[in-house]
Amino acid sequence: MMVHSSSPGPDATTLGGFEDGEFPVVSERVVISPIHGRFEPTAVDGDDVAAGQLVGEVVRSDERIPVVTSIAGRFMGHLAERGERVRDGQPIAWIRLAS
Amino acid sequence: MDQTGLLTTTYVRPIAADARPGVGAGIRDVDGHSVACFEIGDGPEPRPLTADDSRVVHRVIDDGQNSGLPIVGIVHGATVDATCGIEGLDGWGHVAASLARASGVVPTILVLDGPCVSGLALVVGLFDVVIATDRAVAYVSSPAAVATTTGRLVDAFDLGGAATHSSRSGVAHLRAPDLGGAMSLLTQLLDLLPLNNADAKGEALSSDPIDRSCDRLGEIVPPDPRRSYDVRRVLDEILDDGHHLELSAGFGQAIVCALGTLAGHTVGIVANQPAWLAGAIDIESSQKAARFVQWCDAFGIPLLTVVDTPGYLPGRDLEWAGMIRHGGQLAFAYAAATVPRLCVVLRKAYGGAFIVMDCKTMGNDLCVAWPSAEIAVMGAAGAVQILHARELGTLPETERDDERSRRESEYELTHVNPHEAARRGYVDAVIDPERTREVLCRALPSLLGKRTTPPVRKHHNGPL
Repeated sequence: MMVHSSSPGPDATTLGGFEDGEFPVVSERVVISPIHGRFEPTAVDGDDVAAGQLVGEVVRSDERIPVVTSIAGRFMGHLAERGERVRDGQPIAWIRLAS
Repeated sequence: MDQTGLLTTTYVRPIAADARPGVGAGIRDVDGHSVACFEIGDGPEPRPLTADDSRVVHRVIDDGQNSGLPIVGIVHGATVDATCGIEGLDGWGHVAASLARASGVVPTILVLDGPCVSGLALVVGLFDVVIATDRAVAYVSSPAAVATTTGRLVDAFDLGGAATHSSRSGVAHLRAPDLGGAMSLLTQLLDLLPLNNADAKGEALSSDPIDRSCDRLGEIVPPDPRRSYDVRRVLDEILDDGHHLELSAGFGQAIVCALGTLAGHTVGIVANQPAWLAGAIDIESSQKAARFVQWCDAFGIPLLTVVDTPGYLPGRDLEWAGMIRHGGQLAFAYAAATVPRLCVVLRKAYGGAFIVMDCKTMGNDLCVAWPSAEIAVMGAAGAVQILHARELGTLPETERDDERSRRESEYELTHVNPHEAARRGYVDAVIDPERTREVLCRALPSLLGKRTTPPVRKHHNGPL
């Protein structure tokens, strides 16, 4: 038996400072897919990338949505294969921050 | 939290009551059930758990294990105390170790009624059953860490609220709007569980006759195997008083896992759900069912498996994500289970899914099938395509469809039924669906004394 609630629960903002969780200190970041669709990579492993640079595209129907990195660094590799169906928010590449 | 009040009204045997205000701990009564309980947090903000707090918590967990009482944690809010340094970490490490030691000895249940975040959230994953209220929030990494690492903005409840953990992550097994609802679910759960792994759960009182005819099953389960139905209606028809308590209802929905009683004895039910993707087994449902089977086995709860599945859900991503490894978890859990095991095949039982869903070969004690059962390597269409592809290919197009239909009918008659399996002993009896409850209720008591001796080993190495 599952009891469903009709009330949405407390507002997330009421957690205040207690949203704290683990915060790993790492120099790696992941790039996530902005929508669901088929992934087409463009960046090459080992490339230096700048903030705003295209690293791939996600194709949905006739749309080609660019995937850009918001950070600069070294493009370390893709986490999704060419042609793989990716979900909204799925990590598709990783980048090591420029030192 | 009024600690003095707790002493007199809540705990029959308090543990270190004066040591840590804000953390209650001791043996208490929950609607007639004696449990070893700890309670953390008393305000709107989570309590930073100090090393001393953790000491009290792991002490009550150890006490519950030693006393053979279910362990119940009630968390209104907890987080790691950053000011405690490594001692704070060490503290929840002890809690985790105590819970791991108690696992399989006594049931462990967590009522999560507020935030439990950071590394401490991992402890949530160690409980047998988690009941989450709408105030529940659990995650390891904060929304800020997620935003920094992935660029995705997500609020705390979306990241780790009750809705998320009841569906996407599978962390929460039961969900209630508030603490009152959660405590009611806790009582229902305790009603069905033994105190510990050595305790034989007594018979529940039920006026439901064991030979009650299940007349409605014929209406609930459509004869056309391509039509779906909600298997939970079948369970209610078979079980005592038409009642079951489903766990993880929103996660891995291709399989229903529930507790109920048959002839007064608690049983763990694992049932394919044709209402969800035709009941095709996927990774989440395999994982969910495997842990449920393992849990029931640990506490001597007999298993009732209800089979109606076309097989495994096909998908490249599914295979890449480890369908074999996770499918193997369910096979392993069944094969390792030594509790009484009853299996009913309603309709489809094809290929590997037939084997995994507690077939005779996997060690069930009674396997019965309805006349509508289809126990075969695969369905007629697929089989004819493989067995007669060459022959069909040589026929003129005008004759091909007729010949294919003829071959499919022939295959269905010969192979797609329960009788072939029954002749070979893979099915113990083909039964009238209306007698399902009676057959199961009569068989179960004869298995309650079941004893098996597993081979000597430190522990198995089942796929995790």
